[in-house]
Amino acid sequence: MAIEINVIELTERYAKFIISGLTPASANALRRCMINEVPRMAIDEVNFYENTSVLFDEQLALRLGLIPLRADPGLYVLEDECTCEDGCSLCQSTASISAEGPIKIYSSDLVMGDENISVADDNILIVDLKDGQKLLLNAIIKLGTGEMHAKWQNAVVCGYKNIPHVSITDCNDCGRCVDVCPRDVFKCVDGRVMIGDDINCSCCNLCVEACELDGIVIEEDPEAFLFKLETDGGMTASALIVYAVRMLRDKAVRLKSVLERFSH
Amino acid sequence: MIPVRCFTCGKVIGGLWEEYKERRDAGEDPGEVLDDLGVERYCCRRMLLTHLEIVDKFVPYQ
Amino acid sequence: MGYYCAKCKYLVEIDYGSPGIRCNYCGHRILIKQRPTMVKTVKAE
Repeated sequence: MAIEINVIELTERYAKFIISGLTPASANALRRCMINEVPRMAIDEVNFYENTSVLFDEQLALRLGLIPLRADPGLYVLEDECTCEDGCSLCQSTASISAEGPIKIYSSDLVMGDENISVADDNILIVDLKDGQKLLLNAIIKLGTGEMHAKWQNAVVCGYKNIPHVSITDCNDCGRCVDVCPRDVFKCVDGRVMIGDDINCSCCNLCVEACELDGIVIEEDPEAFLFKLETDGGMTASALIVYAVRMLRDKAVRLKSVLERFSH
Repeated sequence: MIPVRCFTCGKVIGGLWEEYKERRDAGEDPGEVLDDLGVERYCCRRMLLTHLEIVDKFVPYQ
Repeated sequence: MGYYCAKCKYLVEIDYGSPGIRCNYCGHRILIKQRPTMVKTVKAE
């Protein structure tokens, strides 16, 4: 069974593709891998030296943590896998802010300790400092995965559905299905009911119920999946897919080697 | 200050607020501005639609 | 480490011997503790 990928839409941060010829388990593994397993950098700890802004330290720290950072995940190692005891240049980097109001502090005002790390979105407002308010902080950036905290999650939205196939077996062109379908799967051409884009079908079965002749059949292809994926800019959508597939393959290889050791 | 990400899905919406506010105040339809900014899901749309700036009201009581 | 008055921002030294606290300058009864000068580490989550 050959795996086939058909890309429908691909931009820097969004991907929509059909992947067919694979089991539901593998498709779900790919989805989970993209959400949970692919590592990325995010601010994890914040040292506050001075903060007289309107936000509490904790609120500010959360806002900083959620800012998407763009970096090659291969540059750093996970804290747990690092040889050091409490942080070294291999597993963490820094960013700092030093400002006095009145000024609006944006994500682009973060001064990075490593030039390989940059902010994915420049115009995120972190805090609005009013007259005389001061902010002086030093943040520690660490590598992490989505299963630890959502700020390390590469895929903002990642999901799939089986490819639906709608077919008409019997029809008197009453047009009820055209009116009832919320996804506009059916269309009326010269008084005849036709199937348009059945990939948009959500399998709600409203048309099946509306049809008096019971002439509409909706089937799902169990081995073809329509994936939709959106990233926050830390990684491009295509890079995320490739990285996740590689991770999945490496895991499978590792599992295989362990199993082989048992069988001897 | 608007939350950095959508509470529900995690889409980064922190950077969209200023443009949204500017265009909304200029008289554009908020829904159309959101469509234009690429805010598709209703979880993200409510983040911008229901946001209220209260920093300036806070400051005198600091 | 002192407290400052919530109304007039006057820095108040608290006399622990006397019952109750109040601002020596304006008599306001709400005092706010000053922020410590040490570094505060917060987890970003």
